Amino acid sequence: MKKPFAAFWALSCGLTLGVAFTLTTLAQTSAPATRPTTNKAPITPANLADLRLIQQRVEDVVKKSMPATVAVMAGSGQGSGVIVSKDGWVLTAGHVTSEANRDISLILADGRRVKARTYGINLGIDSGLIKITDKGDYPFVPLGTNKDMKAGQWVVALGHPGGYRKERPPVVRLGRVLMANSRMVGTDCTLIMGDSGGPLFDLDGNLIGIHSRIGAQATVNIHVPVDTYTQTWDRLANSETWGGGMLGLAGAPKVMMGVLTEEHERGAKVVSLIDNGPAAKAGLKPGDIILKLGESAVKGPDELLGLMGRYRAGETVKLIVDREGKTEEVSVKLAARPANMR
Amino acid sequence: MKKLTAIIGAAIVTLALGAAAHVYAQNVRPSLETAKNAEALRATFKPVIEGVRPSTLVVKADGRQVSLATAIEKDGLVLAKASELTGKLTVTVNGKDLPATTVNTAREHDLALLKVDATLTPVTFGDAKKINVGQWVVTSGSGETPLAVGVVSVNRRKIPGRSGFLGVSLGDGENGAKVLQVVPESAAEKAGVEVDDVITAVNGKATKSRDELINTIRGQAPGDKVKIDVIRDGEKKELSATLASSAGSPRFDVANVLSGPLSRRAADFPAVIQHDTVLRPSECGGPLVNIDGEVIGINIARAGRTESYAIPSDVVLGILPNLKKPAATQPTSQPAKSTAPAK
Repeated sequence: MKKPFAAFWALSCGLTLGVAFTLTTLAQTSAPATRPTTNKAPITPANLADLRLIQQRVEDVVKKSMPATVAVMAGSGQGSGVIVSKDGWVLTAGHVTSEANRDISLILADGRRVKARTYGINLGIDSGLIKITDKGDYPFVPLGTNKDMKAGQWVVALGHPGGYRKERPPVVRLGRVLMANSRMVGTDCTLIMGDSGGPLFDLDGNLIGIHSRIGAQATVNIHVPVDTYTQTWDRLANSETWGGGMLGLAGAPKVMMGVLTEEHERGAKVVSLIDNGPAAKAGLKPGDIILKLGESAVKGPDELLGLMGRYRAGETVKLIVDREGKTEEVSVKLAARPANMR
Repeated sequence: MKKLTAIIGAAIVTLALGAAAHVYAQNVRPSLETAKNAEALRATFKPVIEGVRPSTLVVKADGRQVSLATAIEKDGLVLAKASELTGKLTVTVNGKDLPATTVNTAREHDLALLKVDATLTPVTFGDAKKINVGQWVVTSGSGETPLAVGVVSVNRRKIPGRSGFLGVSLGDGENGAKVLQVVPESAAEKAGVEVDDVITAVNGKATKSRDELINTIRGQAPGDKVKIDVIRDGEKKELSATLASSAGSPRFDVANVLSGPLSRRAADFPAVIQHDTVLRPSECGGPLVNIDGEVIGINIARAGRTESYAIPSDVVLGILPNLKKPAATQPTSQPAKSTAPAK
């Protein structure tokens, strides 16, 4: 059994841990109802008519979804979010709110600023919930589901790349589903900081994901599956904070190699490299299978990460790799993971 | 400047499928075959660029492709991205690299008008006023299949100028700012700045902390040459850097170039249409068409991981009369203050 993409160069790793949150008891709220994807637009367009059909659907999704897309101003952090109910529940990424029971503000697509409060966070999966506290009827989008996702399915991303800018509405990107499992959806809707927490839609305008993190390549953009919000709605709405270890910095090594690897039966297989990163400089290539780090066997991406934790930035480590059937030795000078990462 | 939450692409984090996780999502095996810019999908757009393909040319500087060009007149006039045109220029026509001369430059739009001794097929500009956010946009090269496709991300707007960018992430060091990371291809890397260097002064002015250095660099314009004093392994070194353009915080800039290089001039435009097409800097300068093959603009910048810019057709048409006048007799078009790239 192959684990898809086990180790990432991720954006957005920071999670503030350990705040007590037993203060408020909240009324139980159930998640809004979900809608299935119908996806009448063809996944693989055969001709211009198909492309026009997709275009029409995308433009419709943009019109319907734009008003519900918000900027999240959470103290030192800034991200995006999306309203999913008339009374103002907002889905975002866990690392955007970073802790429960904080008073924050949101900026709606029309420029209106409203008060809001952070609710629960699943640190492991990077989901987060917010409620607008100013009374009102808010524009919202329907929740979709990840049950019937297809490779190549067309998806629309909105958000505030680079942070909220007054003169610029939420920014639209189109892409396709390139991978999906219970913990993440990967697409080629290009994302960057500030997009975190923003919505991913199917072509029916149903919300199917929340932007979370990126890899080095423009084709590696990771979203939190919307199903995880509906499945854990009560916990999120009760301001629980749980999970962790997956995205948190606690377990992440302080050094970096600049390589994205996936599970392989013999070790960690290099999927891609950061241009000019330590591994690229050392001559590592996509397709190389990392068998050993120093004297220790590398059984997969997780082991590779664990082993890297033993080293410091600037240290040179010896890798044994399998390159097209030949065993080669590569020396990589590890770099520091940049400071101030959240 | 507000700090952004999601930061640098630098930590490796584990995202393995946990054994205990119950499966409630459809699994899709990782694959790039169905990517938006996979060959098969781009090929579906072939008919869309049939009209503009003959008008899309390659501009080389000293033999290397630096821009695309859009033919605008039969007698050899083409538009290209001005800030990339340094060196001996040629335009490739029917497989031949023909010498090109610069007739004039509209610096505020970063467009140059070039003349080449050849008979060309000029483009017909379409209507860029009726653009819907989310509509397809297609970038033609000279081949049958489009270079890349995308959608309109933001309708027409002005892009403000940016401040200078060195390309390092910093911490406080002893009597200076300590370099924690150097952005690949950045001004800092080109100048020879290394991780663990402590930057103590810029242009002779002491920078005792991270914040002081950031403020000093922010005060400089892209293209400015600065002298940087660093301490490396206890020894003082003097480096020289030509600042690039910054899109925001240093950390944002690091992430912004992860997936590929950006145009040197990527900001300070009076009017652009923003789209999500992933382009190389050298693929700017050519026509951008809609699904009906109408030219809605000319690509002018690869501005970030998520964004490319095109100058709307009506704006291009508006500046053409002035651009066609020889440079000497024309009052200089409004200079783009401090934003010209370094020569």
